[in-house]
Amino acid sequence: MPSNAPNSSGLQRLIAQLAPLLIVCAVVFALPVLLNNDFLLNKVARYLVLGILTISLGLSWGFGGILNLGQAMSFGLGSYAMAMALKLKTVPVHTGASGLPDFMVWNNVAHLPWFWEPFRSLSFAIAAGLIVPALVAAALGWFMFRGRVTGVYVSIITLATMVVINLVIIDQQSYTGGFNGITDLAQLEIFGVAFDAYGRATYYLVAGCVLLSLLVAFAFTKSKAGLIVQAIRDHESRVRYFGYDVALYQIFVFALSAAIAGLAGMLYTVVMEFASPTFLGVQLSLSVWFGAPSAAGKAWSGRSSAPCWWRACRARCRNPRPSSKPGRW
Amino acid sequence: MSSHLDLRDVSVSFNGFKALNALNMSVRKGELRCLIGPNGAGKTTALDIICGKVKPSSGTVSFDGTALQDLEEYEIARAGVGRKFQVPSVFRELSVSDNLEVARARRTSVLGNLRWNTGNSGREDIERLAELVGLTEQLDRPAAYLSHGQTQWLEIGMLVAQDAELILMDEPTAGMTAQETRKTAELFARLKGKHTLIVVEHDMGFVKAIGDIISVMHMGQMLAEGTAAEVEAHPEVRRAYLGSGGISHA
Repeated sequence: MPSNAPNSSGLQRLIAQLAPLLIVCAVVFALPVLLNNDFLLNKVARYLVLGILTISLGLSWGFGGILNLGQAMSFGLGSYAMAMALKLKTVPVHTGASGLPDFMVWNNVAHLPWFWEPFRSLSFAIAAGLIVPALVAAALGWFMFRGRVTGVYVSIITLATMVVINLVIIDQQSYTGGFNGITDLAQLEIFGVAFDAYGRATYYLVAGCVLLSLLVAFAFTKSKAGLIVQAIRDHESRVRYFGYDVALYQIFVFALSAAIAGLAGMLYTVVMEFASPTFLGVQLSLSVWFGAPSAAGKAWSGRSSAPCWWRACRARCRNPRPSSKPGRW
Repeated sequence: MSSHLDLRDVSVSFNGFKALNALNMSVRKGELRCLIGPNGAGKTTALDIICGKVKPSSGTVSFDGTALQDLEEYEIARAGVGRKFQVPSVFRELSVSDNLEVARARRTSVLGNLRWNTGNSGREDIERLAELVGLTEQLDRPAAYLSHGQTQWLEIGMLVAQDAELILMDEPTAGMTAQETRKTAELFARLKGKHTLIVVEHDMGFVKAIGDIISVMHMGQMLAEGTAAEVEAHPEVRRAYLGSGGISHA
């Protein structure tokens, strides 16, 4: 139970806030029963993954007031982490010994680079898909928020950082697959369950991750730390005079948001069956930014639950809760 | 009793303008000190120096033996200094109860605040604070909808919630009705003793009602210190206020 709503009316309010999220998730889980079309199911799964990305942006921007225009950077890093692991699981057909990825063979790379080695382990790749984006975001955040960079400058720095990483990936073709990305991947297999991109297992994996991301984001926003992050969005300098280290709170929400985006990126690789530099491209990043506030639900991300989430958290902050009696002005 | 807060030769200049010029001030523990002076005397700047909003170009600020002048704002707050701003600074998008909850900074670390609190003590605390500042009816409304006087009260309530040892108040009664001002004076009388207070104020009636010792600042320096009667009789103080109709109209 959250610290600001411990009594029974608070509990009711909590349930009232949680209900729309759970209804959306129930619809998402029920969809395969109604939709007997693998192609469409894959499409919906893809939209849901982008919805998770939007949730992550909603957390840092809608909730924390940090407009990260480079949100796709975390998404792309997660996507590549998954693709690297799945690439190493493919059966080498034309590529010679020791399962060297095909594009490395074409680029005359003789040995697997050191940073590819740990990706032979799927657990490592999954951990990396969450932790690497979070660490990159935390490092970037450390410089930005310690230096009290705010507003539009945060947007410019995050966008520029993403473009730099995007260019490095395209440039280092022999290690990253360059412009083509990493293609021809094995299927993800966890505990004996194979996740075919067009199968129901993948759909339910994505749906489960949507639910998980929503609950993590919801739990954070209901914690006292979440309240302090909201206070920072509202009046950053005032928070300092209560003894909170504002930069640490900003770094935390920025990194949490990046980890959720990394999760979305990993799932995107599973659903799309490849990783590409466009996954951390300006276009994708800006469409997520565009999708987040389009609460009308008509944009592409409207099919996911993200705008609902965004709307819910925005509305809670912007509009007064209906009060039982008219107050004095 | 030794001093709780000590400012020694504090100077600060903004683009060559010396806002504070070797200011000295010491305040005892539990004292309620009023700080008055004509416009531009450096009263607000003095509070800014103590809470870390402005760094002094020279001089030292020591609080309970800790040197504050090199610390970050949040470290100064953790050392036990709370500040109310001249323009009421509350979280306008948050509800009154959330404002008070943020101010109740029992734990300040990120990870410590990730826990969900299961006890009822927090809510009771907040309801008691709201009652103290007369905002019980407004608990669930956003702070943006409060009147100016209520916003002032909310920020005062937030400082009580913060429970800082040293509370700096910058014009706490600005925009309040006479009745609200009287209630504020009563509240301050209750805080005195448990907390050390420094209050910047223009309302001489209020100052006389609450203050033990009054410090008068002028041109970034301490001009006089003493009881209300002493400073009013002080010739230099009279000269500093000349033209503004005397100290009681400042």
